[in-house]
Amino acid sequence: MFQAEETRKLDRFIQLLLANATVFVSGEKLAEPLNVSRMTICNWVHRLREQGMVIEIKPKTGYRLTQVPDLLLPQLIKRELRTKVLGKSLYHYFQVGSTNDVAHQLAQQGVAEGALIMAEQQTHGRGRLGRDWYSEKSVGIYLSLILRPDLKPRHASIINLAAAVALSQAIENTCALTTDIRWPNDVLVNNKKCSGILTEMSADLDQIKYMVVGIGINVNHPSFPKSLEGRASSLFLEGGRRFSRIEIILALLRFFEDLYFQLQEQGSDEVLKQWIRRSSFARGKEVSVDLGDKKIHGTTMGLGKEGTLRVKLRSGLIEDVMSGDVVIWERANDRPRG
Amino acid sequence: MNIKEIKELMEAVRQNGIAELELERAGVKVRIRKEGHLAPMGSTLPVSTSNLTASHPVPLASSMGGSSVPTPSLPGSPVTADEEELYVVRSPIVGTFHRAPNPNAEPFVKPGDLVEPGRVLCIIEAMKLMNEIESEVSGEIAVIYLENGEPVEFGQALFGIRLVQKT
Repeated sequence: MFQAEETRKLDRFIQLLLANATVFVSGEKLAEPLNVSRMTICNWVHRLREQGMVIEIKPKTGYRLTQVPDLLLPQLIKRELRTKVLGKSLYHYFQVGSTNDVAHQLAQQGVAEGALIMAEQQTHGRGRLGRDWYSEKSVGIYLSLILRPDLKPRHASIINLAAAVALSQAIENTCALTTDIRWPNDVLVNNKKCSGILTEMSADLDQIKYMVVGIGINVNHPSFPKSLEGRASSLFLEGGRRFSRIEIILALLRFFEDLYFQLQEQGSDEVLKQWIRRSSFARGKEVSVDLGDKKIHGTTMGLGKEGTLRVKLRSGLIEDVMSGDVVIWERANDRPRG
Repeated sequence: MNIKEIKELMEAVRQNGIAELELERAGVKVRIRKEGHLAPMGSTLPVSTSNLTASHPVPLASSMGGSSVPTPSLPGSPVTADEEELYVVRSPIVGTFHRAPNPNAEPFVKPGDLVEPGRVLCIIEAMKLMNEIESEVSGEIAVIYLENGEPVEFGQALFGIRLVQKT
């Protein structure tokens, strides 16, 4: 496992290789600006080759990068980025515990809004309430954004819906797949979960200090561990081909930024409208909701002003669902389905 | 013990001319005191005996006159005011109260735990937005007002923290 300092140096090493692609560079020339030994360079080269980079080694001459794998390198993303704030600063790691944890640390150090943290692999990818997020190396997108929105904390949850709408737009636009959104923020393809959003906030009573929006997308996963079979899927498995992770990220940032600005300037109407348009869960869906202390069952009736899910119970009462897991109610076997 | 019960207790204290009532139940300790019977909350601490007897005659201590001898410790004797005044942490959002990072984990804090600014006390969840509530003060967790999984209103009290006495 890489230490933080070593990871930073390794990233700079890759930049050096990229800058000198197609020519041989000596180990000495690579080692000197990074203040590491030629032995370290040699180790890194072997490690990167294991990760899929094609680097030629010519004894007594040096190293030559001939092929770049599908890595989320900041240099490659910056070239195409058309956003104003989101992705303004980029952090790319080969391996982290969780991009959300890194984002929290950076945010606490005062890193500006829009910082994008990406990792090829997460060793402790997190979902909500300590659930794990399976983060296989370099086939998925594991990113976190730092936001400092001009919103009251009590109006902040709508960001979650905005992120889901943007993710749905990004997948439909770049992959030509049809998506659905399960309240509040699960983007589904063919009714299967191909992505997850974990939004965390640090706030006091009347001010948001910062928010971290973590997004995991299963892009090119060829398969999943047995424990996830039937529940998780990837865009590759649903779409039948591989997709460019960078294109999806670029689209996601663009759509999310539009909604994010709109939200702060004009309120939540547009986000709610878009969400309702993109979700089969918005209206007329028979669902059951696990509220923790009780379970309710009814028919969805749109969204409340803050993005709550309105569910009409058999008794005629309308419940505004604020949290809890929503599942489709299947009358046939009288049991909820995932 | 909920807010309604506490309000009922306060009413009972008011109607029956009780000076002070202390009650502990299920780890929640409540002390209700009628104004004028004890040292004002804003007084300098610790309250000296002579000061107390002079300005607020307390029946048991009245015979001591202006003596500087400290009052012997008596049941219901005055306690320093900042033991009473809890710093209350309130919820910035409407949501669900989570005492632990996940269902199988230990709670973030328990009554009696000492906390520092920045220590995570709980998570309030609203529409899958996880809001980590951090302590802004140093002190001891005196009261946790909610059960795990309970719904929370905006501005509702979450924790009472007994502030560390500054000397």
